[in-house]
Amino acid sequence: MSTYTLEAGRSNLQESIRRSYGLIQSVAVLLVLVVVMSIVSPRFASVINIQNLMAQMSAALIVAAGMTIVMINGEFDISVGAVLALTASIAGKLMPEIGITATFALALVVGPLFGLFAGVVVTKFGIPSFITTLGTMMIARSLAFVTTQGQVVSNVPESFRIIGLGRPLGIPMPFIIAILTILAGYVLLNHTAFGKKVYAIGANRNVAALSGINVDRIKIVCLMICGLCASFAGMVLLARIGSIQADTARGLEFEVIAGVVIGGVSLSGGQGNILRVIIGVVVIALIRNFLNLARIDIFWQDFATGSIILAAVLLDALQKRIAGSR
Amino acid sequence: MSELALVCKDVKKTFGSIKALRSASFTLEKGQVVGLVGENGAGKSTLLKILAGVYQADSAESIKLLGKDYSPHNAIDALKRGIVTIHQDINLVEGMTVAENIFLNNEPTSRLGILTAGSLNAKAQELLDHYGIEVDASQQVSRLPNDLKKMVQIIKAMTWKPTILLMDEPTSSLTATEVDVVLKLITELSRRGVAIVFVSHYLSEVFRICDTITILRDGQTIANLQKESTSISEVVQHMLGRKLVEVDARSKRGAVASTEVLLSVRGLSVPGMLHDVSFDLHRGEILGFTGLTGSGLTELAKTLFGVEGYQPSKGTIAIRGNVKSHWNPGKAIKEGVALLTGDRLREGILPDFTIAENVGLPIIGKLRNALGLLSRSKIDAMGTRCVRELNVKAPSAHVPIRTLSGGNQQKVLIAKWLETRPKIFILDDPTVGIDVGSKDEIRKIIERIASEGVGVIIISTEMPDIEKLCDRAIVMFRGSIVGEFAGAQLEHNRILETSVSGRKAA
Repeated sequence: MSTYTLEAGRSNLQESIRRSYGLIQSVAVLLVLVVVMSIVSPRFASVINIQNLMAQMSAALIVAAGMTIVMINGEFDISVGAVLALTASIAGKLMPEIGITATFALALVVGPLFGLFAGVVVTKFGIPSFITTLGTMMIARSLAFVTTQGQVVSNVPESFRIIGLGRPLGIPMPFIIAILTILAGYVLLNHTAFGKKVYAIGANRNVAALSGINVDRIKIVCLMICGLCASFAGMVLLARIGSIQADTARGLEFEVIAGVVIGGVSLSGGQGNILRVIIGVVVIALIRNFLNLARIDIFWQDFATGSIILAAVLLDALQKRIAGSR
Repeated sequence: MSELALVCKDVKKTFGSIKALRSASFTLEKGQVVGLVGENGAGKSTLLKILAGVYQADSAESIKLLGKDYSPHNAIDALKRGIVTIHQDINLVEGMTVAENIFLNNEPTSRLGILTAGSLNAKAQELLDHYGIEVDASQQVSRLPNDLKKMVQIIKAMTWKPTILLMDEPTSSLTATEVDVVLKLITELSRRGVAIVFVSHYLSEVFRICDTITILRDGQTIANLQKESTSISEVVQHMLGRKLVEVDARSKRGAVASTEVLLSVRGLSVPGMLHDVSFDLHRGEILGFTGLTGSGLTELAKTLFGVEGYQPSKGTIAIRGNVKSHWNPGKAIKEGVALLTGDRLREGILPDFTIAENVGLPIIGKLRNALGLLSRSKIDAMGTRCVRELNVKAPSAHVPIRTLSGGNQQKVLIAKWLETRPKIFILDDPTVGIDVGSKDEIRKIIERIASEGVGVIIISTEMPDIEKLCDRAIVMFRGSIVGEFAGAQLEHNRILETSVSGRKAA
């Protein structure tokens, strides 16, 4: 019995090291990036650049909160960029007419409606979420163009823009909102029954269903939350920029998915820590920022970002394989 | 005596420390069917795989095919020598036509190596007609019923012009009427001179089509019998051997099962799985369900629990007298039904979740504090209690369940369902794949649960579970109930004979 306890104690320690290993590693990668960038480009470490960076990455962070929940649940939502643009377009049109509060309330219904629709298609007809949200993405994007008639919408009231331009303690307001959103996601995922069900379904939907969990309902709610985050990000973006175009945030979905994966969320669901996702999104934003500062030809920038995403994901897969073979 | 197709003498094979075959011998004449029977683990599959070239025998006095030495190095070798295997599963490409499947990887091409759909269909149709099978060769396989799929699989094997066909449980995926059709085809093939090795648990079928019967037990040939001179009972005796010693009347548990009916099932049918199943479960009773693999046991458990994909087409499930409709696991749990699934890895544990998280899954909604958030202290208390009460060997309730042994994982899963306070507890193969010590502990836990008034259903193909634990045992065969045993009647060889013959043994 005593030897048993000893062994168990050891495996317990190994376990906790294994669990925090990913986090330590992400922080290390982030620090290395920051140091290298500061040396290569002196402008990088300036206060103004950091503030810009924070403001710029806020929409991606808010969207990433929803995407993390959906991906831990074992699904994808690639309509987020289009839903963001549609929400901001509608809000930009409505705000001068019906006021800030009513617009906000209406705008935050757009994403959940798209999530509800996609969720029903995914669960009741068994269509993969990647394909379903590809469809809703195109619908949302088209509706954004219809709403704006291809024009820039810019009649946003000044009082609304405080959300986007405020800087308490020098920190851009959108970034504070984004971090609060992620923290809300953290509480939801880790400290509620709903969150445990999300993880359980992602880990093994059969086990979850056989434990009496209503798998379809949870999946639909996850997609609705993701839509809500996309709409919310659209509002924050609108407040920051003060104007909106229908093709805003094109490709945001892949940037966010990349950030979530670099943040350690399993592509097959069931595993991941939303706090680590912050680092994943920040890494992607840093790389983009750095490429700009280093004046890399704009046509080559996606090439560089794509390569780095692939490298990060491959590295992760390699580590999992090594860990698995031990 | 006609010509010998195959002679096997004293074939041996070991895997590591396990002697899969100690001494297997049998002979097969051209145009005859030999039935290879035995309990699970008797060595039937190993012998079949040696003949098919998948394994190589460690040693054999002789294996002769048509009078020549035969020791295939691989499956292709075996095919070239004319030994063709028909696997248990129907392994056809569903999206392709019958003709395409029949000639898959064995395509009859013209001299230029060109394949035309027309000639392929014509050739396939010719073959099908030759054996009197009424199937259109140009039809897509996915549209066929199971028996015709099996026929196509057999005809596909015939394109290799086999001397010997090895058939592994060819009827296990079929319904009773479909079995008839396939058995007729097998008889027809043997009449045309093919020698057939027929491996099956279904002794009634073995007796219908086989000329001789070879019985394996613990890797040894126990007897080679002519069908005319033996009976199902004799074959069962040989299969079981010394284990047949009459079991003493079981020590009855103290309490007599109550007359209060907890669960009442009437005429329950699920297409392709269950047929007209009726029974009652009483308070404090342990009711066993057994039968061959594929007789509908797991399907019954899942239907009773309302699992998706197991919706009854007919019949009723009543809990304490109330008939339930639109049944699903969520409702079942609320009504006090619990199901310990048979497939622990795929349907039981969440490997990366802790013990406490696995236990709490069905009642997670109740483990909340005043704020509506998950309550650490409630989860801790529950996890620690389960680990202690069921004697789970783990450093704490907060280690991932994958770090535990199979037996301890199973105890955690039992704890998970006990936390839902079940009135009816269905356990599907509760002791499968776990060590002997844990098996005994789990059996004791089950007895304790029943003595506390829970109605327990045990589904098991492991005879000790049924014999030692159950007050009553129901035997299923191809989705139907074929026998019920209680008291002194409840013993190994009666149950096995009923399981393999599909008729209640005296």
